[in-house]
Amino acid sequence: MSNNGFPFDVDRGHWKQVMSRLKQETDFSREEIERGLTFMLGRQASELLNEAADEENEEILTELEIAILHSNEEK
Amino acid sequence: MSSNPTSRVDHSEHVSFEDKPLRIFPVERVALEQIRPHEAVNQPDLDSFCRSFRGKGLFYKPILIDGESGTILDGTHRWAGLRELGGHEAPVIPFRYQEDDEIIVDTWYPFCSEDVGTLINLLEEIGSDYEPVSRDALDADDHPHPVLISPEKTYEIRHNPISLFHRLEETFDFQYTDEQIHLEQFVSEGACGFLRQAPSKQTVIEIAQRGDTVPPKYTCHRFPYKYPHIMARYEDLIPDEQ
Repeated sequence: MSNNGFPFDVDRGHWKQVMSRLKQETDFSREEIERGLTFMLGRQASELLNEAADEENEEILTELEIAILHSNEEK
Repeated sequence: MSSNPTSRVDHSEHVSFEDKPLRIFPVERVALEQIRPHEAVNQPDLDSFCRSFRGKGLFYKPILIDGESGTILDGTHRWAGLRELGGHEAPVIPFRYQEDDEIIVDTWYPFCSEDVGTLINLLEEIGSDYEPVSRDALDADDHPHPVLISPEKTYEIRHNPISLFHRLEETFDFQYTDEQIHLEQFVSEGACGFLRQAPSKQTVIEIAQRGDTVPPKYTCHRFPYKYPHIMARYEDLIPDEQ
């Protein structure tokens, strides 16, 4: 699957499973579903960045530490 | 694919860093008894995981498995740690291991500070056949049998590699590197090391299904991508702990 401009891609089998379920349960086209998911991912990213900017949010600092640790370990 | 010079990750691994794309996979929860290791558990690594998991309170790295057989590809000590602590389930990412050509089975090359005579003594003790071979253009892929490289001489060893390396691991302290060129560098600095071939994917699965194990660091599964972390809490995975 193309990465739609995000800095990650999605496992093809996983993406097909997601699309299959959403097409089955809605009347939307494949293109509409992809577009909708892109916007939903954008909303999640927006919430994450809002949390990161919130000076009272300590939990996000813990997750950032974990994320960096994990990214350093991945080889 | 280029790799940078080795960087020390922990006390025993010397690994080349590769920049790889981030890919999203489904993460599932499976019962611990439904997945099986193919690699032996190393007690210090197990203890280290348990300390880290307890200390952070978070399990952030899913275990990678073959979706069909339940064989663990990466994360043996995370699985063993969850069992040790009394957990029942593990967060996993299942792969189509046999079909996916992007997943490669590789191996770590062990090396140690023992002199070659000490290693040869062990080979003789366990009844291995060994013979000198040329160091010129030595490539692990050309040698189905393990090769012992020392500053003085190089030997090809005819012995079941799994039982050979189980015995070697029990007897000596090894460090590991993931590239032959780095192994040769350590040997030039006085170490003795081993070149060996990785087992096939089918062999990996068969070992796990038999309930056997290979020594730690015998296999190294390479994926051409990274995957995101998760944030599973200790109390969710170890619910029964007082």
